[in-house]
Amino acid sequence: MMLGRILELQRLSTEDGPGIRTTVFFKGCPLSCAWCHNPEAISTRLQTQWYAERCLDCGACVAACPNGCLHMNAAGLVIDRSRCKACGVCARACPGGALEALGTTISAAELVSELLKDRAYFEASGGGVTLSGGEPTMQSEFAEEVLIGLQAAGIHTALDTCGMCPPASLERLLPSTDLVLFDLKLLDPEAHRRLTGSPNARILENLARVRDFRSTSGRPVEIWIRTPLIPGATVGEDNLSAIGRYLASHLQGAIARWELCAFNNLCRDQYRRLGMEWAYAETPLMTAQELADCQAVARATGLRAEILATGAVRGTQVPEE
Amino acid sequence: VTIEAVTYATTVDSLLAVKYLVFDDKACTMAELIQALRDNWEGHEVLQARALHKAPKYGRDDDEADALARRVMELWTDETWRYRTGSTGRQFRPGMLSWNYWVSDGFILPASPDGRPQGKFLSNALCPSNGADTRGPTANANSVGKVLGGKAPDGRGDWEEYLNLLPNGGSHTMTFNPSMLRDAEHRRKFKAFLRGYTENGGSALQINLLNAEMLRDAQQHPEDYRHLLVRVTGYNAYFTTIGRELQNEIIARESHQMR
Repeated sequence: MMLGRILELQRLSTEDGPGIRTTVFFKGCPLSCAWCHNPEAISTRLQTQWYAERCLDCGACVAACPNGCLHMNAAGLVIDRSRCKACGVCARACPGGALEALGTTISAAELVSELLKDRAYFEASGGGVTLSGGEPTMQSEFAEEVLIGLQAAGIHTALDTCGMCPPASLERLLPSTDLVLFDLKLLDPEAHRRLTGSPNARILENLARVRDFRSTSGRPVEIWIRTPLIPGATVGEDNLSAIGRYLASHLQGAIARWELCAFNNLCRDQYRRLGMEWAYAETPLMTAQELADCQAVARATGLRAEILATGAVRGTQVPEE
Repeated sequence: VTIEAVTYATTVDSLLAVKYLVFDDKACTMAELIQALRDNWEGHEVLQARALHKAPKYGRDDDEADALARRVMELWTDETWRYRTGSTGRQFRPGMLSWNYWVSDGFILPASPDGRPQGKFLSNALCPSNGADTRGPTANANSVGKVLGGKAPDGRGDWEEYLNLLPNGGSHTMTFNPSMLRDAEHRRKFKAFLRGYTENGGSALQINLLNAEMLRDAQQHPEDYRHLLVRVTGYNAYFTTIGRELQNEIIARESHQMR
């Protein structure tokens, strides 16, 4: 029985592939993107976080902690993260749900049976399940068992990956994947290294592997490219043009869709709760015009794919597509 | 003749809370729980928090909790079918609409074991208690479908292949963010959600689209809105878990969208 570590499930997800989906957020990611929108999924370790607004100041957590790493001061609960083992004892003791254990360990079989609860919605919408994160390929044996279980039940499967993984981890998953949501953030290797912590050569090689698998395996694996639009980082004519031209020359005909996903700042408090700094805490949302401009740049690259910019924008309605 | 039941989820969640607090978790004795209710939870805030946040609830697609909900439903509908009116001999039939009584009766009914103090609204019709549906809309819908009867095991229900324990109507209300309907692709997804809703046993759904006024209310009463998911492409958050400043930003955003 294979066990995996996941952060949470998002049911009725409408943004992670076709139809209505349940998205499984895996815990752990090999990249450390400066703008990361899911900071609680970066660490492979279990973590503990505290919601000030739910705290009753009852002290149950301080008394329960077996490692003595919690104390209360005037500002609230202080977690000594150097000693916290995220054992979850405090979260279970907390009566008001103010302490939350981030991450759970679950068996593939148990996860699949939970995912099948929304089968009716998947079938009515042409949806299914998306493995995301975090990075599913970091737990590829577990992910494979989940995908195979879903496939056996006739559920459409999608793999959302940053592409930064050993080729074998990716190749293990492709036979049981119907759609790959492949992130391409920056084409310039140096900028990629500076902003995500790793160069992108392996990512581009892995993208080529997906393309080759598609043509050699006879399995019609669909590929969507996703690029986060991050002001001052991935946004800018140079980067988007470069990605589009790269895709047009290396993967023309293999890409069904290229999604440009607008920066958003909803994770700001998440960083605070985790005791992490975030360089983008004060960055405003993009405007509808900026989003439209990005879309126009992407469409001018000659890539034959459905190209659209999506996401929240400052002060106006999300553009109609 | 329809008999309408009210306070359904409040009843179910109260039974679940008694089971959890007194028997499973042993957080208190039955006598202590009764005392806490007599005191309207005052001075028993920690126990109340356990009832609210730790006890299982109807509306999360939790098979164990929903099985108890189904038992409560059958207990009441079976009992209703046993009677006819005294004067004309007409059959009593069960329904579950709560009109506005779920609001006003909340002031009459004393504190309940689910953590609700006197004066706070009861649950509405078939709906899970306010804020209890923390697993999202499909989980909420699945729980409701299960207690309505779902598909008959032999495929021969009393409404095509479905059982319908509430032939005289049961109302269920859900709230969505307007971004669920923002373009043709999302409208198709929403239609599919409604098809899945009926497939899983739901019979009547009233739909609210969330607006800025409601978000402001959520700032004032976060305990009623713990389920409220603010969804923006690629990321989502429970509205009540994000800071005030950011909430204001989202309200501003929603106000604009609603124009």
